[in-house]
Amino acid sequence: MSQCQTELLELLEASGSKLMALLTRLTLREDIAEELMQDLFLKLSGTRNLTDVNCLYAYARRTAINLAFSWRRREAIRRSQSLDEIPERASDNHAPLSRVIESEEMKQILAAIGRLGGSSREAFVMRHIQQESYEAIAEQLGKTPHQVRALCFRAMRHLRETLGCDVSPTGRKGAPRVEHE
Amino acid sequence: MFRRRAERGPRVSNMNEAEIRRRLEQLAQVEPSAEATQRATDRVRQTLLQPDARSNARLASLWRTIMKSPLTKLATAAVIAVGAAIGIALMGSTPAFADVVQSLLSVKTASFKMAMRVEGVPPQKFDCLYAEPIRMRQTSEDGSAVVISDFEQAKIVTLIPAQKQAVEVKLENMPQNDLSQYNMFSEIRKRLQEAQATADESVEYLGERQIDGVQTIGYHVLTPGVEITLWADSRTNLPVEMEHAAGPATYTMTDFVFDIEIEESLLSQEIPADYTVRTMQVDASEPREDDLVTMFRLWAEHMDGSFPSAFERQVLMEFIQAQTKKMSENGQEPSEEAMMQLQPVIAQLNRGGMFAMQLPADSDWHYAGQDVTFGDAEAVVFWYRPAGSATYRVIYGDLHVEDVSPADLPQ
Repeated sequence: MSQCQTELLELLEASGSKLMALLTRLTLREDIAEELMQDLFLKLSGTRNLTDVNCLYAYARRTAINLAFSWRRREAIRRSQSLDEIPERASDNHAPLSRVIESEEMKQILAAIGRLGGSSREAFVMRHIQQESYEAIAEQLGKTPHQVRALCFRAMRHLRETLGCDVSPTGRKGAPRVEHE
Repeated sequence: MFRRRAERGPRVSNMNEAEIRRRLEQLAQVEPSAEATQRATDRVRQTLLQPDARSNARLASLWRTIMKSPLTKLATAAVIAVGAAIGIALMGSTPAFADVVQSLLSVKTASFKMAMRVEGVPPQKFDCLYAEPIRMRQTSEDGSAVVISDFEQAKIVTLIPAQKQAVEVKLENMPQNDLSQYNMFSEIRKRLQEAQATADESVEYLGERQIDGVQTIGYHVLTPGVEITLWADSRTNLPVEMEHAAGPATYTMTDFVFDIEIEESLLSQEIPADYTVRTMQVDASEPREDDLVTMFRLWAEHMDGSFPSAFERQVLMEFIQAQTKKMSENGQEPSEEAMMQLQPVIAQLNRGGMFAMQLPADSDWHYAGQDVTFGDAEAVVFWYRPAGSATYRVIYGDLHVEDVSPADLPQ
C-alpha cells in the first residue's frame, strides 16, 4: 500500500464522519453528500504530492467545501435550465433533516455563502456551520483570531446585504458590529 | 414540472442578522444518519483499497458530472451508443443455446424498456421500439428526448420536443454487409446466433428463476470488460430480461413484447417543420490507423499539447469534462453551439479508440503517451503489430509513424 493510500485511510478513519457531516450541511442532501465523499477522496488520491501537504484534514475540508459549493452552483444552473424533476430531499427517513431542508431561507443562506470569496467562505463555514472557535480557525488558516473575526464579520455583512435586509439586530441599518463570542 | 425558484440568485427575503444566525444554528445541528455515514465511509474505504474499484469510482464520478447536464448528456449520447455496441462486439463467441437464439431471431418487431444505470446517477430509462431490418425508436421516460435510428438509411434523428430542436446524424461510409453492430438489440441477436456454432466456457447456465410470474432460464456471458445476462421464458424461449454491464454502466432491457404492430409514423425520421435542425456527419467506416493518429492529434490540440493520461474508455469522458469546463464561463453551462461543435471531435476520438479496441489480442499494442509532449519526434506514444506483420507500427510524439522491429521497441 502506498504512503498516500495509508494517509487517506487514516484521514477517513479519523475525520470521515466529520467530513460527511460537513458535506451534508452544505448540500442538505445525504445522498449527494455520500457521492461527494467519494469524489473528495478520489480527488485527494489523484492529487500530486499529497504527502507533502502539511495538514491533510484542512486540505480535505477545503476541498470538501469547494466540492459542495460547486455542486450547489451546478444545481442552481441545472434547475434554471433543466426539464427534469429534481428531488429536493436529503433523506426519506430523517425527519429533522427534511424539515431543515424544506426551509427556503436555508437554501438562500447557503447560496449566499457560496458567493463568498475563498478564505471568507472557509472561515465562515468553519465558524458558523462547523462551530469552531476563532482561535482554532485562525490556527488552521494561518491567520490571527482577529483576522478571522474580521473575515467572518465581513461575510455576515455580505449575507445581510445579499439576503435583502441589511439591518443589524440593534436595528441600525448597516451598523458595524464586531463579534464577541 | 419546471422548478426555477431555488438558488437563482439574490432575492429579497427580509432576513435580519438574528434570523440568519438562527438558521445557521439550525444548519450546524444537521447530522447525516449513521447509516449514510457508514455507507459513505465503507464506499471510500473500498475505493481506496481496491485499484479496480478506484478506477470504476472515478469513471462513475465522471459519469455523474456528465449526466447532470442536459447538454453534456446530449454530447455523450453518440459515445454511449457506440460504446455499448463496442462492448457487445467484445463478447466473442458463446456456446449454443439454440432454442433461445432461434426464438429471438424469429422476432420481427419488439417493444421493451431499457434502463441505463450508472453508480450514483439516477437511472436513465427509455421506452424502445424495434423493427426489422434495423430500426429503433428510443423515448426517454419523461418524453424529453426521442431518438429514431434507421441504419439502412444511415441516419439517426434525435428530437427534443420541449425545445423544438432536432439533431440529425448522417452516418457516412457505413459498411453495408453487417449493420447489426449499430443497434444493441440487433447485435445481441447476432451474437446469440453466432454462439450456436461454437462451444465456449465463457457462457454459464444460471438455472431457472421466476420473473413476474414467468418461469425463465438464464445464461451469463462473461468477456473482458463486458458481462451479459439473459433470462428467457422457458416455455417460449423468448427473452424476458437482458442485461449488459460494462464498468459502472449497466443496461437492462425488460418488459418485452414481441411481434407487435408498430405505427410507421413512430419510426419515421421526418423532422417536424417547426423544429430547429442541426446536422452532423459521422464517419461510420471501419476505423484505420489514420484515425488513431488523428485522435492523438485532436487530443493534443484540445488538451494543451498533452496526450491521454491512459488508454481506456474513461479518458474520453475526461476529455469531454475538460472541454466542458474550458467552455464554461462564469460558472455558466457551455452554449449548445459550442457543444455541437465538439461532437465531431468526440466522434473522431471515438474512432481512434475503436481502432485500438478492435486490434486482435496478439497485436501486442501498448500505449506510452501519458508523459509525452506533442511534437516530440523521439518519444513513443503507441505501438502495435498489424496482423501477419513481423514488425511493429510505432506512433511518435510528433505523430509520424514508423515500422520498427521487435528488438528496437521501447522497453
